Amino acid sequence: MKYPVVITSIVFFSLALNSLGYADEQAGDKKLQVELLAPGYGELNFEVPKAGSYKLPALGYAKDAKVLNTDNEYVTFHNTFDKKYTVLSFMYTQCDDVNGCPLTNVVFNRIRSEMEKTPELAKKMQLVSMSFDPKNDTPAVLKKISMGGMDHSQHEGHDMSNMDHDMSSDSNNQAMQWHYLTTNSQQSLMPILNDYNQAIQNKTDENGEELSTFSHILRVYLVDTENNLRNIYSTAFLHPDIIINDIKTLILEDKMSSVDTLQAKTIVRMGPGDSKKGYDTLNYKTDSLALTERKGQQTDLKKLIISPPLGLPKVPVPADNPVTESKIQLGKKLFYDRRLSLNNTVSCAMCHIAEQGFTNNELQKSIGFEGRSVKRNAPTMYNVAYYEQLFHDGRESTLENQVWQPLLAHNEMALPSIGQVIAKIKSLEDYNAMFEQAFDGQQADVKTIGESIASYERTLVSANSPFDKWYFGKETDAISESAQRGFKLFGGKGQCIACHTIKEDHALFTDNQLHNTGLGWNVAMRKEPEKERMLIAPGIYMDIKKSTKDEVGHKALADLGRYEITQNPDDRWRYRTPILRNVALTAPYMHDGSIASLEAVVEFYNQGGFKNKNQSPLINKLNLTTDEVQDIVSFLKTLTGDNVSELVSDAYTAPVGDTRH
Amino acid sequence: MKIKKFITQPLKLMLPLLAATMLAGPATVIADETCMSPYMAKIVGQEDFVYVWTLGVEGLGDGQDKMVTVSVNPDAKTYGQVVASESVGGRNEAHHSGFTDDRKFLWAGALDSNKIFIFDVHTNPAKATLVKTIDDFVSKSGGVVGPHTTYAMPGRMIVSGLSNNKDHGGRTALVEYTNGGEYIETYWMPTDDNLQGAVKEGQFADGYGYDLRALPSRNVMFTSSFTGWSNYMMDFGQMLGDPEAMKRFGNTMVVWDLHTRKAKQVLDVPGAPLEIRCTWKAENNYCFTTTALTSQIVLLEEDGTEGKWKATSVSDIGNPADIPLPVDISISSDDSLLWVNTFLDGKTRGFDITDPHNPTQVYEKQIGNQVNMVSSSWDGKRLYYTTSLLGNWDKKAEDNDQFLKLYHWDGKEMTEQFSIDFIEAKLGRAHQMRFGAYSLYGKTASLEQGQDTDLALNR
Repeated sequence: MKYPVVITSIVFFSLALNSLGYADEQAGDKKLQVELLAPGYGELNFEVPKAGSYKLPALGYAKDAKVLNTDNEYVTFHNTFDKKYTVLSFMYTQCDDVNGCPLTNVVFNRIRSEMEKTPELAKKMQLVSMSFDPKNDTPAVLKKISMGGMDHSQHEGHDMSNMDHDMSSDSNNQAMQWHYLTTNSQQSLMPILNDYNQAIQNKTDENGEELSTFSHILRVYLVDTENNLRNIYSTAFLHPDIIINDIKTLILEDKMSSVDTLQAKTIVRMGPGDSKKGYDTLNYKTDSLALTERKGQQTDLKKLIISPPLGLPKVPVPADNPVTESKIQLGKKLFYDRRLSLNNTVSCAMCHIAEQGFTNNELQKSIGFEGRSVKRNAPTMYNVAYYEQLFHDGRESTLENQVWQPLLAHNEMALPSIGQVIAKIKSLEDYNAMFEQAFDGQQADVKTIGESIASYERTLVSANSPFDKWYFGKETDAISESAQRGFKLFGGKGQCIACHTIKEDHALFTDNQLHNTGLGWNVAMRKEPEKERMLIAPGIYMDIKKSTKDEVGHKALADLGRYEITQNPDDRWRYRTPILRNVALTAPYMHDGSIASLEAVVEFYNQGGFKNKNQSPLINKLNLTTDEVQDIVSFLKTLTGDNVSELVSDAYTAPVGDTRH
Repeated sequence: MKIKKFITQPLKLMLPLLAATMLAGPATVIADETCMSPYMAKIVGQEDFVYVWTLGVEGLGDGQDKMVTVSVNPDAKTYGQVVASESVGGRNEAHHSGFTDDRKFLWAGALDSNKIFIFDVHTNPAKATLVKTIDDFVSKSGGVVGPHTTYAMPGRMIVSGLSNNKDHGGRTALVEYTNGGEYIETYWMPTDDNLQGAVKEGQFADGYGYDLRALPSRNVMFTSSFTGWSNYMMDFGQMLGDPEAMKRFGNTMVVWDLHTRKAKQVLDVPGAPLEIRCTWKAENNYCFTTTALTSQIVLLEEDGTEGKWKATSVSDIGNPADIPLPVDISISSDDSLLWVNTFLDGKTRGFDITDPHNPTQVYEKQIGNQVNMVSSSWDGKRLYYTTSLLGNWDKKAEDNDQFLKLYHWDGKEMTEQFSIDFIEAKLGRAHQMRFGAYSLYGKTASLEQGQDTDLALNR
């Protein structure tokens, strides 16, 4: 007969932590391994985390079970737990694995010994040893152990008969209870082990015959006063200091949750949440924001359409799709919903990211379904209502129509058909009532889906910028002198205004036409360099060979611009003139995102773009000085609307749509 | 004296590892790949199976991701053959996998669809069988995308994320689950505005994540940092030509309090530190990582006695100027050798790490046109290699080797034992490997219908 090891000798604890050599034998091979006894036998070699400085999230419910106590009476787990913090161990008394049940016994004794010093805490907690060996661990056997009436000197492999053992563990004499429980059969035991995910299996001898010992994973559970599991200890963490601190932490947890609440705050910052400003230098320092703080407030979007901010004309709204609040809200939900893609990962907003200028500051060209390449840069959604032609090649006429192309493109959201889009949205319960409300009882269909998303997109108007206040509002000091000089250059020597037009009472900074600047031509016709310098870490550059890129990359997708729509050779590499409002927020630039900064864009035009047969006659070499380039950039930076934070904050309130589908 | 006797006598039945582990026989040798959680149950003897988490390829076979079970016990008639393949539906960007602590279930993460596929490997170890799919990882976690490492804790799994559902960038979190697949908690990586109690030791706190390893004896857990969805899903060649995208790599490692899951330190480790491997011997308390872009072996060790850790670059890997792209690493169970695979040149390199501050390359071999993962048996004699890095990062055309290869390592030379061509077998891209064995579950092959009757592995 083997019995639990019960040890209180501190001398032993410290010595037992010494490295332990032992032989491990297989197929005649002997090798020495050096391992440690579990920390529970001694002192931890790290500082115990302070009680109350951490959380112990619930790991599930400690299920009830009908068991036998040491008086051979049926009791339940929950009655035994008795709304106390309970440390529950599954064990068997014949256990001979020194880092298994005997360890638990030692740790439980140490806890009890500690608790003698803090009777108030002791009253709130208890220990439970639940046997998974009903054959040998009868109530009578367990009673004897619980009364401390057994000598364990016969314990095989653990000759400690002369050690100082505290066997006087009569739970009735202690402030803290220690219950021993068992079952009357394997049959009644198994459901309990399943509930607690406690796997056991009989060990076998060389001939495959079952032994009376079990292989098992040591699991000791901490159960709170509401019968929730709050921690699971394995050998490495089964230590009295840790367990006692965990219990103290649970007692303190109400206090902690109020501290957490105080930390909630709202931050709206333009640009990626993990800013890479200065990444090209060794001095780069991160300036990252927590995603949990990405919270916002709803705004009245409809009012922006009814009364657009200073500098913008009336918002064009199709007669057959008047703007309503319910359509805007429905469209907003659809715009941010990742379920609107074949595998529920890509929403409109994954490429048109609100704080990144409703485009993506982090990529030259968009990445769609399954990482498939899109050949152009995601255009900003700001002021998209004013475009007469949509997409960089102007291939679509209305926002209502435009909506469908990304939904169905195999390299964007990849939904297989119009019918599938409609069916999927109809299957999402959270949409049905919203469609009915927005469209007078109608459900999602090819018309209502387009109209609702378009209605939201149309609200993203932004102006009343410093420039607008200066130019239209006549506030003379609304923009800097440099920006004022820049505006003059914009309309004069810089020739920008030829395409980025301004009217008397408003300014869209686009002629809504398409032009060949030479950029697309150059990409198509140039010979790629054999090596390119690339930033691979802050301030660290390496040359990347063209051959390496070719080896791991597909050929870039062909892009002929407007020609792809008209098949007219004169339209090769013609792209739409973008609206320049909020341009400071929408890097990288151009139809392919190939120019990183506004300075570089202005310099590109300063050089006259890339000459080619189809280049627009409006593009000419400009001979701007460096200061003049800077002045134009200063001016462009005054085009940021005063409501961008409001629009971004509103966007943050939209559900992202990762609910179960 | 009695005490001395107790702690020095041969203990035939004493478990040798910190974690109490399942034993199927009274006399055993511990055998396992060396990159697993120290909480993990250990294989007895020779591994019987390798489970290869395989990415589906459009137009190849059924095009779906699948868990491929390969028979690897030389005593088996099916040695070196695929014995089962379980397709999971769709291409999810299958990536890494990890067992629960009882080693009954294999959790396999998918970086694109964000699903976690849970395979039963104990009922019939010869066929990893899909039994549950977690498909609400993103919503439950509060927006974490890209479940990467699935790491066993007692009764729980910690999953490290790579990205998020707001911008598909690199800011992310750790997510904890019960073994039953119930969500517990999300632990966000420290960011500058909320370091969550951690100390920013250098210039960076990017909030990025990748791998996760623990050293229970020091109550410490480490995470590394890679990149977000936009990059890891993007065509690799396109990304190398996109200077904006190239800025979006992690430059940090985070040191966590293992018990409380609280971040303690953010360390600068520039150039995308990926896999983390910690030492196994009781007297060794350090870990290694390698940086993908800057090609460095980095040592993580305690810095003085204040419970602080530091990261130091201790060796180049190949010629960093060539960007060989170190990917998977594997540490030998005696902490003497670190295998480092470099994806772009398809090589494996063995580094002598007996002096952890001065790793020295002692061996190099071409494994294929590309190579990613390496898994070692506990005795270090068997090394398995696979090829796929990420669906859109693998080499194109004829350089796109996709295989599982087994080599025997005698301490001086590697000898190929078998190779399974995953393209020819219409399976897909071979990614991560985990080992399985009958002996873990007190089973013998003879108990399994249709298996070799002479394959009684825990005899």
